[in-house]
Amino acid sequence: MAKQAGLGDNLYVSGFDVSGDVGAVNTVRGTAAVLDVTGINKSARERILGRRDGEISFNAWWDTATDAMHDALSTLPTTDRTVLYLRGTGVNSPVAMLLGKQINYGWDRGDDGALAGTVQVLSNGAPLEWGVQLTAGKQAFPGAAGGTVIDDLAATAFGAAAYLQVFSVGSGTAIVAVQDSADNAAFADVTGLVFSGATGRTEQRLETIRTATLRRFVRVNVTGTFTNALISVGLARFQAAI
Amino acid sequence: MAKSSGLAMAVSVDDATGTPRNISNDVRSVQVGTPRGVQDVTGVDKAAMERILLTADGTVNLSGIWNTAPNMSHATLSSIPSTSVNRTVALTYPGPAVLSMEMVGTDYSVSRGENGELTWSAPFQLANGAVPTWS
Repeated sequence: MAKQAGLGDNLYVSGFDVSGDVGAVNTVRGTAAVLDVTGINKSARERILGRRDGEISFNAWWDTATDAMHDALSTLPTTDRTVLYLRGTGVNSPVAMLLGKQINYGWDRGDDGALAGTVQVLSNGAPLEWGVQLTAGKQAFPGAAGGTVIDDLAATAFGAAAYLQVFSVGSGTAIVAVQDSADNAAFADVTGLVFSGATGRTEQRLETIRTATLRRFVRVNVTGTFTNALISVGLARFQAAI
Repeated sequence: MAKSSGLAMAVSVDDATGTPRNISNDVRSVQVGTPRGVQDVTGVDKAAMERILLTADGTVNLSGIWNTAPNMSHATLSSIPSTSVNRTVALTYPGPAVLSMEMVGTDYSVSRGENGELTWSAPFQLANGAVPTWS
């Protein structure tokens, strides 16, 4: 794949698809504090990385339609929200994932009549995490089923984090899990990546232990007795120790 | 070699596994700094400044275009927020002149503009106490 623009991207906040109301995603930031540990026996700086941080900030257009921008963001909750920025909408396409606090919900009404807003979400307890989509953007599961398999070519041994956003469930309870396999035949739930049952709009971030092995093949699997679950799942497979 | 532009540079950055990745074609701009600390040691008997040099340092700032091809910029840099590994950053300038430093990546920041542009920036700082040296 060659260099790309950001056309066809999506942005989901806490189970709301606000893609159509976002004009620009200004910041998708994952940072680390830098600690100077230079010894007196060195002639140049020595550094290690410290505390992690993350941010997703975007510009928005005013929209009071049902489940649009205003419904999604005007409540300014004190609890954490999950934000997913999807680079395209396809299984195995990149996704930036953030668990954090929505800091603001600010609007400017210009003299030309434009009503434009800015929203900033800062990380809380976990840094911004880049991973891949296990669903094709928002993906509908009419009933229990497994998703498309992703072949990551090799297992890794540093754990993983996964994010779930549920946009709607027609009826019943849908249980979403990340599964892995060594042979693309026998799949099993990844310990620590089985989300709580969902009966409607919800969101959750899960993480394995940092020494967990994630096998080569991964997929999302939805079980339970339910109808029409519309969900988005992202998986960040860690490549090294933190 | 005569005076030259910066065309045909090369940029290599280690990924999270320590494997060098040539991401030159994704990089739009490179800023490099190799500053030294400076201490003012001017004696009261002097009418002009006296200085000595202190600790050396190195910084690299890369910016570029989004690319998810295997082993290119996203695959190489997206692990910066979630890993703590040192990375070799090697810059080949016309000549050739090469500057290679062991560094920590401190940010991987992506921006999607109103016109659809998708760009990233990634700063690095010297990590291992080795004085940056051109070869």
